[in-house]
Amino acid sequence: MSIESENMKKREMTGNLIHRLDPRAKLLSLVGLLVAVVLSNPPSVIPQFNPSTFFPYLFVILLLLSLATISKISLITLLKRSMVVIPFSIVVALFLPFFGNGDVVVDLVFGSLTLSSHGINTFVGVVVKSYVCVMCVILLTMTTPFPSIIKALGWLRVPETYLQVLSFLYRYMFILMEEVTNMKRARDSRNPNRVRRMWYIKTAGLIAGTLFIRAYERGERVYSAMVSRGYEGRMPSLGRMKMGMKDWIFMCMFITVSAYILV
Amino acid sequence: MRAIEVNDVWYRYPNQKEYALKGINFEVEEGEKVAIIGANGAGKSTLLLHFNGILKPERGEIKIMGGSDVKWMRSKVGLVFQNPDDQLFCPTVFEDVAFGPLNMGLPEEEVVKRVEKALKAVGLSENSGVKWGDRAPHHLSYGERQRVAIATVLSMGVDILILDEPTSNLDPKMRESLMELLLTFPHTVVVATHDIEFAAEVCERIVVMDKGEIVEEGVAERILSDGELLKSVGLKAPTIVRIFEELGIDEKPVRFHDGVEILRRLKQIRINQRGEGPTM
Ligand SMILES: Nc1ncnc2c1ncn2[C@@H]1O[C@H](COP(=O)(O)OP(=O)(O)OP(=O)(O)O)[C@@H](O)[C@H]1O
Ligand SMILES: [Mg+2]
Repeated sequence: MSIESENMKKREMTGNLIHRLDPRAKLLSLVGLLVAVVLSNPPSVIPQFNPSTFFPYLFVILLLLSLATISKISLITLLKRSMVVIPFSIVVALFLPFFGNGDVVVDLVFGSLTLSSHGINTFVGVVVKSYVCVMCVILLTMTTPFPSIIKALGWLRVPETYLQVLSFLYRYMFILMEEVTNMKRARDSRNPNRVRRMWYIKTAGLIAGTLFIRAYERGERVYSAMVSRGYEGRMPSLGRMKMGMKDWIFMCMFITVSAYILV
Repeated sequence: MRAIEVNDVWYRYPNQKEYALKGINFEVEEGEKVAIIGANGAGKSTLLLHFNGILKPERGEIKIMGGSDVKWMRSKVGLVFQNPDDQLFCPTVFEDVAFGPLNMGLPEEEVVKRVEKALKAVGLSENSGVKWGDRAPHHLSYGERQRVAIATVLSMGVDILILDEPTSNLDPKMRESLMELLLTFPHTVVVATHDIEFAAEVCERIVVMDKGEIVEEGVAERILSDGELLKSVGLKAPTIVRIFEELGIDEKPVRFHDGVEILRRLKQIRINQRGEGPTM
């Protein structure tokens, strides 16, 4: 399945620069860049289209794409995956143009429903920024195995409990998905004359309920497996992370870029 | 010292009328290898879960190496669950096998050594081309997961190894090597299984369970050659025993090699007889 094969790929590509960087360096750099992007001034489209306000974002996208090229990640995949956020950000930002002060550009219903220039600029900003941010995150996850990200987060003092929940999610998502597939298969193989939509909806409910109970009971059993191997509320971890010269250089590069965007 | 002591243990699952264990009494000496056999729902898994304090008896008591403290029990007993998905919860195989030793506070090099040794013991060593340690448990085959589950307990270096249905998904070769592994394991082993042949090869003593009770226990040769008893609890004698019964031979070996030995002797006798009689 995808995450597994991707993890394998990540491991195979350990020779690549970006893959080999310390996960903490990558995390800090990319999150820093992300924060800078969020805080930066939105580009200006109205009343005057000003292309230069888009340059910082283009610059970041180019930077991310070149990093992706170095680490032999398919650019198309990166660009396409980052697209998933667009519908969400558009829906969330849809109403922004109607609020916000600033001069009215379009008057839809006699002054009661208007589009403001500030609002439109914010709308464009939210969409562009969310795209760039998601691209940062996706680049991070495509070059770093999930367990390493967790470890780096732990080093950054993210609460232990939260991280454990994350790593269990990663582990058990597949088992739950497998159970759903199995139950669906079991259902379909016992239903030779298909169709009837109502019946599908009903059984979907049953499956969801059973899945909930199964997940709950499995949770109990896993917990007992953990305590029987000496678990006392803390996940032990192996292997230290080392920050080398290249990690510091990488981080400095990102700090510079972030500063450029903010100014 | 007794490795395991079970005194009149009663257990009922929450919200259930029927007792899953009804007054279990039995003992395991240190270094002994015991099989618990019984049909589905006999209560084998329920009993095993008592051995490291996951379930607590409603009545009666359990002692492991003389102690009944849960922490003590868990440091002595390594339990491999029937379903490997309950046992494996880390993102990678390596981390899962290292989980126990790390919790024991061992130094890192020692942990790595133990993990490698345990993985090797279950036939998943690094030099076979695949980096097993880096694989994600949820993307292994069921049998491979079962082997990893066994490795997670081996790496802890426990004194008592408890396995629930260890052979149910293993291929013949792996089953064979698990047999070997258990035979050379110097400590106490308790296996719950339907795999009668496996029980016969590995264990010297057999405990038969039925409907939450122990109906019979004794040396493997006696219990496993008793076809009637096994049938009455929904099991079957080993193939080798059934062959000898069918042929009406008095001796009833339960292990494959013992059976072969006897047949070889009988064959020899026939050849000798032929040699003495009038030749053609
Ligand atoms: N979580 C549970 N809640 C309620 N009843 C249970 C639970 N687990 C098991 N039982 C019941 O307890 C009895 C003993 O179950 P147990 O799992 O110990 O059997 P087993 O001998 O291990 O069988 P198998 O060979 O199928 O693994 C069964 O009748 C079963 O239905
Ligand atoms: Mg069982």
